[in-house]
Amino acid sequence: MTRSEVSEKLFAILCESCRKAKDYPQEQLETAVLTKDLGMDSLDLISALFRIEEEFGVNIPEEDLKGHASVFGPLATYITGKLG
Amino acid sequence: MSPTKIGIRAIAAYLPQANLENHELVAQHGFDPDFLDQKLGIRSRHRAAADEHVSHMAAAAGRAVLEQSGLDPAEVQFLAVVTQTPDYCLPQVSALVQHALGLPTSVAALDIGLGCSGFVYGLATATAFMQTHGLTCGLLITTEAYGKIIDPADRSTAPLFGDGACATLLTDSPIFVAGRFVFGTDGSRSDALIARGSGTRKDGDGLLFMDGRSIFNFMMQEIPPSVARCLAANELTMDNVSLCVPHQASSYMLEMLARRLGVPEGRLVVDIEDVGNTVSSSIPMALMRRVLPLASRPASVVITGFGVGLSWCSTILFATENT
Repeated sequence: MTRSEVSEKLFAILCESCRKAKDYPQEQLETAVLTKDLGMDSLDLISALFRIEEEFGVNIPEEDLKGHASVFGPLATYITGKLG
Repeated sequence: MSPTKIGIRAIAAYLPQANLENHELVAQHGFDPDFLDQKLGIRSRHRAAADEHVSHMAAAAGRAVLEQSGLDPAEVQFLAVVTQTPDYCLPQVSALVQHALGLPTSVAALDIGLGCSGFVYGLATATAFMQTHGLTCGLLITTEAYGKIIDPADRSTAPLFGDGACATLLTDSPIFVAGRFVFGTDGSRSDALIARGSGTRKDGDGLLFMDGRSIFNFMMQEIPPSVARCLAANELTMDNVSLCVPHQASSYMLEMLARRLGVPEGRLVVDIEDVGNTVSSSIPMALMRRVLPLASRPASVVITGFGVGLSWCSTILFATENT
């Protein structure tokens, strides 16, 4: 799966978990912080992570999330990297 | 001779007088009011008083169900108390409740140490026990005071859980009987919901810890297949059951679970707004407040409890023709 395919699927998953996310300007998506910019609360994040792990077949440990994987672009890169 | 079918005759609840409202949580600990109202779906929850314990709440609920059913305590032959926050490590809460209610000393009384799966497990245990031993009148009491083991500033648990008790009267003239049960336990994930230091192993402060992500994943992974197996064992599909009453974890969790279970529109029962997550009482509370008062008794109700352990249990309640 290419980086842009991952981005597209990832955004769809985030919008499923948090309706507010779909209103975010697409051109700024790469640098969007999931909580602050996309408006995801702790429950949105938990359900999105579950769906991401399920859809992409990857495991995202808590410690990775606290670092670079809390921003949309780096998260998409992280998932693409995990998919190898 | 096949044993008499034991099932649910009536349910009554006891809720402590004190309410913890959202505005108090917002003012004292800076919780987000929208998150509490809309995501958790909880506006207030009850808290047991300092000198009020699960045996007191259990006895109050038990007294209420006996009174509303016109039964004398002397008629009760079986008592199961489901709790994880007992008055004491020993004696068992059921003995305290037997005495408080004035049940005969011939009563078979036991505790069941389960959390959110406790009502459904308790129903399986109580009905099987009663049927095996030819008993026709019993009480299944769920009673929990998680408020006593919660850090009031803990964002995961403080707004979520509410104290309270439910007493379910089980008799041989039931209005609902349970079908086949499906059970589950996975102790490898026990640290996802735990009160370390609350028992004899002194490895923590005794307060409740919840790993929300682990619990959410557990719910989404284990409960849909468990419910599917339960429906199949009872020769039903989700489309032809009347109502679905899952453990009332939070509004958001219920919505996500219902979506994955494929619960048809209008058949999910949600009853959490003014009581919170009452642990093992959440299913009987929802049955008592949202299902039993219905003018037309639903033919079949899926119930599924899941949580601490991790543990889960599902069954179907079938309406009888008894009035």
